[in-house]
Amino acid sequence: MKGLWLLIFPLLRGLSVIHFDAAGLYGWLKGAWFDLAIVGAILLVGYVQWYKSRIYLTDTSIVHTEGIIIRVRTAIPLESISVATVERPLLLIPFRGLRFSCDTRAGILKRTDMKLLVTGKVCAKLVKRIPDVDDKRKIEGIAKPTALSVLLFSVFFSSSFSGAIYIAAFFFKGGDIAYDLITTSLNRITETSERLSNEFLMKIPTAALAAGMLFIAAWMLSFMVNVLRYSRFRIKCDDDRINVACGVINRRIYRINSDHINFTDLRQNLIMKLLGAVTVSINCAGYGSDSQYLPVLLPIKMEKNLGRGLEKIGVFSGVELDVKARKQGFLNYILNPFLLSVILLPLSDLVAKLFPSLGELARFTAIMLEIPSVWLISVKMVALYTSGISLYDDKIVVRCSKWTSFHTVVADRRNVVKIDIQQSIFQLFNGRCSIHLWFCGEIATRYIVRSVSLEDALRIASMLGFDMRHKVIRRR
Amino acid sequence: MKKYRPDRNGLITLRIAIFLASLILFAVVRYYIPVDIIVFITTIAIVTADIFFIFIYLPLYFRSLSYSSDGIEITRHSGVIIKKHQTVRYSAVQYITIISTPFSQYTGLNFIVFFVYGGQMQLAFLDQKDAAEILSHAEHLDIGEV
Repeated sequence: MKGLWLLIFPLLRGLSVIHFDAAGLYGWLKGAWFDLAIVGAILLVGYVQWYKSRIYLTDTSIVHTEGIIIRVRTAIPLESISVATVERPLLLIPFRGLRFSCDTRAGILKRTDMKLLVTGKVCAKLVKRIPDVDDKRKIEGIAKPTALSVLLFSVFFSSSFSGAIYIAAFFFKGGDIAYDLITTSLNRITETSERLSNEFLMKIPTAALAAGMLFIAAWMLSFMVNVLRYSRFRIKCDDDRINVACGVINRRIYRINSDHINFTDLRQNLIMKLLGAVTVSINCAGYGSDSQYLPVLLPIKMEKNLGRGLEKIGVFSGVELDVKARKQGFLNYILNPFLLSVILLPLSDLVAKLFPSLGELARFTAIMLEIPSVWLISVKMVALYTSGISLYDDKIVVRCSKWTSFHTVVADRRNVVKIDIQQSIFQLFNGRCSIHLWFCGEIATRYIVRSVSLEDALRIASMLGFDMRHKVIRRR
Repeated sequence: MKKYRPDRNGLITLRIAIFLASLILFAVVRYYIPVDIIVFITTIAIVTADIFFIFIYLPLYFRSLSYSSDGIEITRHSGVIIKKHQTVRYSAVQYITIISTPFSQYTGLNFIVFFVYGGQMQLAFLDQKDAAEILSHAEHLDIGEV
């Protein structure tokens, strides 16, 4: 029933050709009766499925039975639930419907374990069984995310790529009507870009300008979606539970079991790093598990103002690193983006020589790609000075970079499930290595700290309970 | 340690299901592609697949499949060519799914899926009584009235 709304496109197409008189309606029905019967059958099966599904609340579990012929009964103990989510989708408002879902740490994929479409009354009963933040034990001093922080978060975490995916999804799913709509828009963009190119930007090829405008439009779309998703962001927590609510149109409320958080991730890009701002995310089954939502806990916050409220789940700043990346190993960090930036212009010249008609476009593309590669070099240089590992109490703190973002990961030591120590041929002689740390979760997540001393890496591994010393020495 | 074997009725049900599916497939091909040579090739392919599954693979699969439980953990033994033994502690089970069909006491189509950290274990073609007994070991999983 999920994709049922897609039927609106053939329906609209059908309605667009119908003549609203008795003969026209009869003719339309005569041609479309089979399609209508199919739609009716889909609706009927969906209704019967919903009608036959039952939810039982036992003392310790939520039990859901579904299926018409093949009966499927799923029982989730309340204590296993990591995150329970209540969502009020716009489409369900007329039916007073809500979506309740809960997820556990079990399973191999980031799939929600139980998803229920329920009425408000049933949802209230379900939610009542899920432990929430105790107002008497509520942690004070967690700053409420401001509208500015949500806006900045949406700016930093919107991407042309995801926007393009939205457009593509609309394009593929929407059928002819969407196709017409997008084609018209693209024609307009091309015409505008051609005019702009002719009038102001003589040096930029029309195709490149059109692609740029398309990406800006995609980014704007992604930005707007993010603003709608994360506006009215509210968080409260006690020692055991976190309650997060966000969204304007599709309001979502999460109840998170703090003990089930695998690790906390303070994310930054280069600008945020220079300004001292962070985004606090968590890795917890069910929170941000669908690709549309990010598992954010605090949208944008100055690192120095994080406070002590969320220290229990590892949100704090100013931790001194025990093991730092060796500066002599800077090539491990910048070699790839450096090579990319060096090779781009000669490559464009080569393309121009081989295919003169593409010369201008190749030059433009090379210059455009130089920007991210230089950016990446800057990111990796900063990562060289900030990466490292620290251990204290029962926690581990890992500072590293992945592509263009910086991560400060804080986790219980027991959540490190695997360690790889890797040495290149050159590193065998200088005693340095890369340490790969895998953190548990529905999908294990890897963070890499490059160019650390082998001795330090072995010491860290040993402190985490992985005795790798004799294996590494023997191999050498 | 108690050993559970899959319900033999499950094997019979699967054989009947495969036979019926083959008949339907044959009828569809014959109706929509009425070219003798295609119908002939399809029939040969269907009959070969049927013989392989009904008389060779499924009996071997059912013979290899068994479960053993000591009340603390359960082990699934399976594999026709490569033998596989998978053990799960009942206490590590996070949640459970039970799949059954109408008249499952006669068809043997009772399945239990135990979901644990990072994976799952499927117990297939259980006798209804065996399924109830296995479920009774997972005391912390309250599945309500079945």
